[in-house]
Amino acid sequence: MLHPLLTPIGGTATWLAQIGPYGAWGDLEWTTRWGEGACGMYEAQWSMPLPPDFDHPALRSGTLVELMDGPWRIGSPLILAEPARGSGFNQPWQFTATGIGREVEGENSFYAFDAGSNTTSVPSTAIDAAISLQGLRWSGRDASVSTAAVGSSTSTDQLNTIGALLNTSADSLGKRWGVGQDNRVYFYSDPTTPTYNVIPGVASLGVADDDYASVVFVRYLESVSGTYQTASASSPPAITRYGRREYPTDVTSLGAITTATAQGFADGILAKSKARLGWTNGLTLTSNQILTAGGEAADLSKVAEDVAGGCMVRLHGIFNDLLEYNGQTWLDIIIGEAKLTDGEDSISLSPMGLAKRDLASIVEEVSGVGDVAA
Amino acid sequence: MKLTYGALDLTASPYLIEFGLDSGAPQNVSEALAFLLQDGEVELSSRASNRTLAFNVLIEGANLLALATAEQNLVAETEKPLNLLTLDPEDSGPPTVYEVFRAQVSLVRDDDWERSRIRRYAVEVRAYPFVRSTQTFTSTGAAPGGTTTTTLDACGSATGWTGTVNGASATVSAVTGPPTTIGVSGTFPLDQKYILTLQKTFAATTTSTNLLVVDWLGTGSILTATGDGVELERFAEGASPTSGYTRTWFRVAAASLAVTRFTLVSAGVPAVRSLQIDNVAVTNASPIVGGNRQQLRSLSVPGSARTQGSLAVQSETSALGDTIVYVYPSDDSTSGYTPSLRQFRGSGNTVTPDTTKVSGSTEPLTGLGVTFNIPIGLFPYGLYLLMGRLATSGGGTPLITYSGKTNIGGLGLTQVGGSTTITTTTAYQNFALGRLILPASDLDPAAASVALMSLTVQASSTCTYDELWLFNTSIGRLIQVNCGTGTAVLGGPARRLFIEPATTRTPRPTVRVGHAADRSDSHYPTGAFPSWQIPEFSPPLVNALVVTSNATDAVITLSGYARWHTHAAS
Repeated sequence: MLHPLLTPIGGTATWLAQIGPYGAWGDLEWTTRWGEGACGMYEAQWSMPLPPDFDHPALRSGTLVELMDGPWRIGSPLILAEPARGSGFNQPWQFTATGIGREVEGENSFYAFDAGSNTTSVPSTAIDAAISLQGLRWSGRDASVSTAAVGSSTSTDQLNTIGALLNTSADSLGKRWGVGQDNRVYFYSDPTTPTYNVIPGVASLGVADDDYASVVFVRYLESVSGTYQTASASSPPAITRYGRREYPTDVTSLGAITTATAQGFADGILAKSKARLGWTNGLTLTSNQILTAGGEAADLSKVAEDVAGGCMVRLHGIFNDLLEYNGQTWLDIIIGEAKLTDGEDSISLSPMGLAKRDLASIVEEVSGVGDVAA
Repeated sequence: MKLTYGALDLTASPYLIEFGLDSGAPQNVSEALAFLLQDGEVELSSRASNRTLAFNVLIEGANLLALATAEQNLVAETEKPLNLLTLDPEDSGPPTVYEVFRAQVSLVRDDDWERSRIRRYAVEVRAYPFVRSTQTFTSTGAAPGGTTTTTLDACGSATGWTGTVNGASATVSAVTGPPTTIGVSGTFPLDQKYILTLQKTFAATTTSTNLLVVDWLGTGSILTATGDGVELERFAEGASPTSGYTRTWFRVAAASLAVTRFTLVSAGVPAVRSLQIDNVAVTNASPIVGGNRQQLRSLSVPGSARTQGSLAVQSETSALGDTIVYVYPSDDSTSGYTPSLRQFRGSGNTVTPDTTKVSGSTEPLTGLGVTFNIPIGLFPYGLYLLMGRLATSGGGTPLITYSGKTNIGGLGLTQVGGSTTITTTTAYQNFALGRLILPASDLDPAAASVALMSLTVQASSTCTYDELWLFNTSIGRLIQVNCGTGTAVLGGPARRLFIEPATTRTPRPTVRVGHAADRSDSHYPTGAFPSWQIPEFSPPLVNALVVTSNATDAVITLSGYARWHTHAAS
C-alpha cells in the first residue's frame, strides 16, 4: 500500500496518515505515461473523509506530493491542485495531483528564458534558468538533455513554454523527454527490448488508422540558401501494405535551420508516431497475466513505474501488427499509459498509439501544448 | 451469563435479555478473479467488514416513569458513537468484548405487555468485525546479549535419533555432505499434509542458555519443537550460516532439556519432502545479525484474527539512532527469510571489522563491488526494496549499480538490476536504492532449495557500506525513523520509538518518539521520517528485524488486544 508524503511550499513534509482527524485516504489511483509531451508520472487522485471546513497547509494547491512505497518514491513527485471539498463524510474531499514534468506544459506554466531573462531556444539553458531563477522544482537535468538550439538562433522572438521547447527538441532528435524518479529531466529513446511478457490468450488489440501516415513532409527555411525547402521521410513497407498517406509539418516558425536538422524532424516524427497502425483498445491485466522476463508474476506497481521510463511488453499469441503472418507468434508494444488503483489486483495498460476515441482524450489532444515558435 | 453495554448491566434488574442474541459475523470483503483458470475464480480477500449484532432487551418497571427512566439509561449507552458490549459467560470461558458503534433501538410495542409494565426493545448495532479479550497482551523480544553456546549435536551421525513420517516410524539417515546432516524423508501426493519428526534425548541445562537453536532444511515449511513434551515458543528465525538452511531459536522455559522433538508440517505439490538437521545447540545469545544493533525476533500474537498492535522499540541507555523496524508474517513462505545481506557476502573488497556499525563491519563498494550469494529459496516471492547503509569520506554522489542473477549449479538464469545516484556524507545513512521482483526467475520449490542468487552491488566512486538489505514490501511493512544519536535527552535524541495503529477509538495511526518510559514526552517526530508503512499482526507469530544504529540494548515490544472470531479464548 502506497503512502503519500506531502510537502507544502515552504513547509515540512507530512505523511498523509498524519493529516485530518482520521488520517485515512482511499481510492488512490495513479497514472504513468510514455509518449508525446512529458513522460513519466502523469497524475494521481485520491479521496479523504474530512470535515467541510477543514484546513491544513499541506492540502493546498502547489503542495509537492510523493507516492511512497516505504522509503522509495514511485516515479517523480507530483504537484497538488486545489482540492475539491466535500460536503460531509458521505462526500469525501477529492484530490488530484499532476506529474511534476507537466509543470512546464500549458499556457500557465514555465517559459523558456535564459539566465538574463531573454528567451532561449536551448533546452538545457531554459531548464537551468527555470530551476535556479524561476522556482521550477526539478532537481536538475541529465546529460542526455539537448544543449543545442532549436532553430537557427539561440533565442526566439516569441515566448515559448519549456514544454513546447522540449517537445520540439525531442522531435528533432527522435527522442522523448520526461522527469524521472530522481526528479531530473531526461531525453529518452523508445525501448527496443521487452521487459514483461503477457501470457497468450489474454491480449486482443484492435487496430486503427486514425493517425496513420506513411510519408512525413517537413517544410523549413534552409539556412545556407535562405530558401524554403521540404524534407521527407517515408516507410516503404507501410506504403506497400496500407497505401500512401502524407503528413505535413511546418517548422518555418523556427527560422532558418540546416537540412540535417529538418531531416531529423522528419525521421523522428515518422519513427515515433507514424508508419504504423494505431490501436483501438487497451488491456486490463492481473499480476498473473503479465510476467517478468524470468517468468515470475509481475508486481503491478513496478509495471506502472517502469512504464514511466519506457516499457516494452511482449504480447504472446498475437501476430505482427502489420497483419501479416511472418512466423512470429508475438507482438511487442510500447506501453503508452498505465493506470493502477493502489491495492487492486489489476492494471490498465494502453499501448502507445492508442486512437483517441473518447471525448476526454480528444479534448486533451486538441488543447495540447503546441510547438516552439521562433 | 452477563451482558454489559458500556456501564449498563443488561442482565440485572430492570433489564432482561431475551434468548436468541445474534452476534453476527465478520463480513469478508472479497474479489473474485478468474486469472487464467478455465473454470471458476480465485476469491481474494484481505479484509473483513463490520458485523451486525441483534438482540432484544426487556425492561420491567413498577410504573411508566420507571420504564421511561430505564429506556433513558439504555439509550444513553446505545447512542454513543463507540462503546463496548461485553459478554461474560460466567463459567470457564473468559469474557468477550465487542467494539460497537451507535445502535439502532426500536420499541416493539405490545398492549398486553404495556399493561404489565414490560417493554421490549430490539437493538441492532454494528460492531468491529472481530471481538477481543478484556485485557491486553504484551510480547517482548529480549534485549541483545549473551555469548555462550553449547553444541548438543553436530549431526555427524544418526546415533540416538528417531524419526517418523505421518506418525509411522521412519529411518533416520546421515548425510556426509557437506554439510553433515541427519534427516528423514517421505514421498507425498498432491496437497497431502505431511508431518515429519526427528527426536533425540539430550542432557542440557537451560537455566542460563535457555534458547534452543537448530539449523535445518525443509523448504516451504514450518518447524516446531517440543522439550520434554512441552511445546517450545519460537523466539526468532532467520538464515543459517549453512547456505540454504534456516536457523530457528526456541525459548526453553524449563531449567533442563532432555527429550527434544522437531516437527515439520506442510502440504503442497507432490514431491519427496525431507527434514534435514545440520546442528542443534543451546545458547544465551539472542539472535543478532552482525552486531547488537541488528536483531531478529519473533513476537507472539495471541488470538485467532488479525489485530492492531502497538510496537515499541526502547533503549534504557542510548538514543536509538537511525531506526528500522521491519515486520513480516511468520509462515511457511518466510521460513528462514532474513533481509540483511552481509551474512551472505561471497566476495568483494577488504572487510574492516567495526563494532560501532550495524553489521559489525564496513567494506568499500568500489571496483568490481561486492557480491552476495543469497539462498534465494529463503526469499519469498515479492517486490523487494534494496536498501543500503552507506557513507563516503568527504561526501559525494556515487552511482550505485546492482545486478543479480539466479544460479542453479553453473547455469545462470535471468538477470535483473538497476542503478541510482545518491548523495552521501561522511556519516552513514540509509538509502533506498531500487526495487526488484525476486526471485528473478520462477523456480520449482525443489530448485529453490539449492539455487543461489548472485547479487553484485558496486559504486562508481568512493563509497563504503555497513549493511545492505532486501526488504520484501509485498509481505512486510517497513518503518524507518531517524531517532538521533548523541545523549538521549527530553526533547532531543530519542531512546524510545512508538508505532501506534489505527483503532476504532483512534482511527488515525501515528508514530511517536520520546525519552520518558511513561510516554509523557512522546511526540510525532520533527519533520518527516523516511518510511511509514502500517504493520500487520496476524496470529500466531510475526517476525521483526530491528535495526538501531546507535543503541545496542534496544528491546522491541508488541502489545494490544487478542482478536477472535466470536468468542475470546483468553
